[in-house]
Amino acid sequence: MKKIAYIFLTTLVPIIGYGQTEKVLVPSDLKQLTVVTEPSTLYKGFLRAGFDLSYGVIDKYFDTKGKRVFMPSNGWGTSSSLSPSLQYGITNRFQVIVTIPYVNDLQQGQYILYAPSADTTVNGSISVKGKGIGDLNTAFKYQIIPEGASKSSLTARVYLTIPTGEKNPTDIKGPYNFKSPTGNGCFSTELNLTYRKIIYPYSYTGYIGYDYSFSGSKILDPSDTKETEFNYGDRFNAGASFNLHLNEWIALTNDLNFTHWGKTKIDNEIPDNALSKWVIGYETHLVFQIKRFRVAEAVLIRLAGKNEAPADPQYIMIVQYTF
Amino acid sequence: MKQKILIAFIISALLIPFTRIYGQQDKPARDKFTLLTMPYNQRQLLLYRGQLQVNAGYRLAVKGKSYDSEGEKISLKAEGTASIMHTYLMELKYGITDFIEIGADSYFLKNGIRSPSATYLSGSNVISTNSLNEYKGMGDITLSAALRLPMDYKIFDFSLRGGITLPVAAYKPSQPTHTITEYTTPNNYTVNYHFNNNNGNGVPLYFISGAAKVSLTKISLEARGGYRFPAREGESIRWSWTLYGSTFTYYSNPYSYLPDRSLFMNGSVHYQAAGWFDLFLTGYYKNTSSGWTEYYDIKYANPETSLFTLEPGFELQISPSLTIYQYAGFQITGKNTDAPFYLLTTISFNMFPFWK
Repeated sequence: MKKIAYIFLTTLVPIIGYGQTEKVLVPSDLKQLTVVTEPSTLYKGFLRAGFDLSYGVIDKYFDTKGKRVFMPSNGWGTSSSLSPSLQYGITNRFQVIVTIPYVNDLQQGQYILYAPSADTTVNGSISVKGKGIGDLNTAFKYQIIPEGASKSSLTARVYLTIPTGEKNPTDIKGPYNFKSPTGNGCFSTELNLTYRKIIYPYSYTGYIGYDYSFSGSKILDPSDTKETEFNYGDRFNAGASFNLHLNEWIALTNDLNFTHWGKTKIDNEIPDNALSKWVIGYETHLVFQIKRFRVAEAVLIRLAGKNEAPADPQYIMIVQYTF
Repeated sequence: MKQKILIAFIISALLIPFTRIYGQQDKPARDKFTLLTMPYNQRQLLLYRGQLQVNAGYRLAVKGKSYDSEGEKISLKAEGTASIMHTYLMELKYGITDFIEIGADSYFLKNGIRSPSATYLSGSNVISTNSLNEYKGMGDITLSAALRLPMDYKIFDFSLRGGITLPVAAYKPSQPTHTITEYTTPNNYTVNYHFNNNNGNGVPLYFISGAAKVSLTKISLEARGGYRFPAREGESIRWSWTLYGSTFTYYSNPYSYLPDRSLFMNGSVHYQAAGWFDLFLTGYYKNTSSGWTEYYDIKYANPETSLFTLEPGFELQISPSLTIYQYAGFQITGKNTDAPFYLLTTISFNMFPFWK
């Protein structure tokens, strides 16, 4: 009988008991959280480096009646930038971000001048290119209501844009042939409040932001001989997003946003033809999270707008790695 | 004796969990999940029986260059006539059996092509002109049926496809919407010519194509070739106009045409990096010829065009029913044709609607 008991006990050896256990998150797991599951600021000591690549064309705009129309005259324009960025979590609730874009803008075209009475035809070209460092952007994010067991948070973000980019046209060879500026020529600051709620595999956000531009001076037209004082109109934006996991490592974000630009002042006065424009956009990101490596493809589609607001889609690629 | 039997029984019982029994096996399991998650290198050329596939794609094309009749590159950007083409693609396919597939596809396309602006100076007259050719609308619907070799796919597959493109989309250009702007005096204004074109062919087109595929473990090779030709000549209209004051009056004139015949071939190399990820590089060649267009009762041959494109891309399975395809198109060489760089993203939704 004793032998039978020993043998019976021996049979228990290969059996592994699975009990209810709580998964312990280690730092490497935290660095692999996706855009849906990660908290709204980086964890303390985490460093995220990456770049954003943005590309758009200048083909259409929304007119004063809100109709999407083509740019009237001949020409081809593109606006692109490559923006390296660094993000660092100072505490679990406080994060800093530094971004500096390399801007590459292009406008090209041709025009023909016929003067039959003088038996003359003139072919002219438009070549306006702007390449170089743009304005430095710094941001500070703080979780006012930290993300706890409720998985909801309220985060304030303060941006400060420093005009490190060239503000004036250079290498002026003619009214249509010069190097365009890569910077705005003024300081600006933005306050943004974002509420976020995670209900795995989904997350929801709602945000509101206000951007104030300080006055500056620059050459507005290449034919100007001196700088003109200006003050860009304030910018207001608000939006909401719904984000979800398509599988464990691919997430899809959907953001609907509204942006309004106020009228720009020239020499402390608002010109008669100044317009305050607005646009409603939809931005979707497909985000691949491969361990600490993140690649996102995004497209911003302008759905509606008015008063010369841009109407072309914008393409964005984001590559990031969390250390 | 009893004890020995008991010990032997218990030892046998302990060994069972570590033993895999290989018996006579039937064909691999044919369940929905297996078929929906079949990697490219193990997948036949056509859909499986009962499989429904819905594809929705978006192609962003930047027409920044073209090739002339000698194959020399022309920069459309420098001319200011470069343009953006947005194409929304739709496709529906169904596998009737493992060897027969039917499908339908169409697209919606938007493109605005500018011409160089011109200014006419004559005495005190200063008249500027801008010109825009806009293409906007649905394309025709193509119906197709395909057959493949009636055997399970292991290494080699071959299929034939044929079909018709039905001229259901609008094809005659709509009335232009020219405008006058910056009007200061009767002798000083800007004319904005705006031509509104549609994307239909106006006549049926037939096509026949073939495809072959070979898979060698993780590497697969695929080749396709096809020929498309019109069923008959078509008739369309051209718009002319007169300007009186700032009012345009439009007139249409008919003309006949024959769409080009087109030959297309592509070959691709695929690497199945993981069960859910396939990388590929495709070389695509297209040639059009034999079409003509009538101008003032004389038929002029359309220039023969050719274009060779390299298309790297990937297929990524997100879930059993959802797959994403992305391609980028780089034009390498060509003649008499625009050469748009493009990015194409397609989401493919797959299901077996009648299989419980």
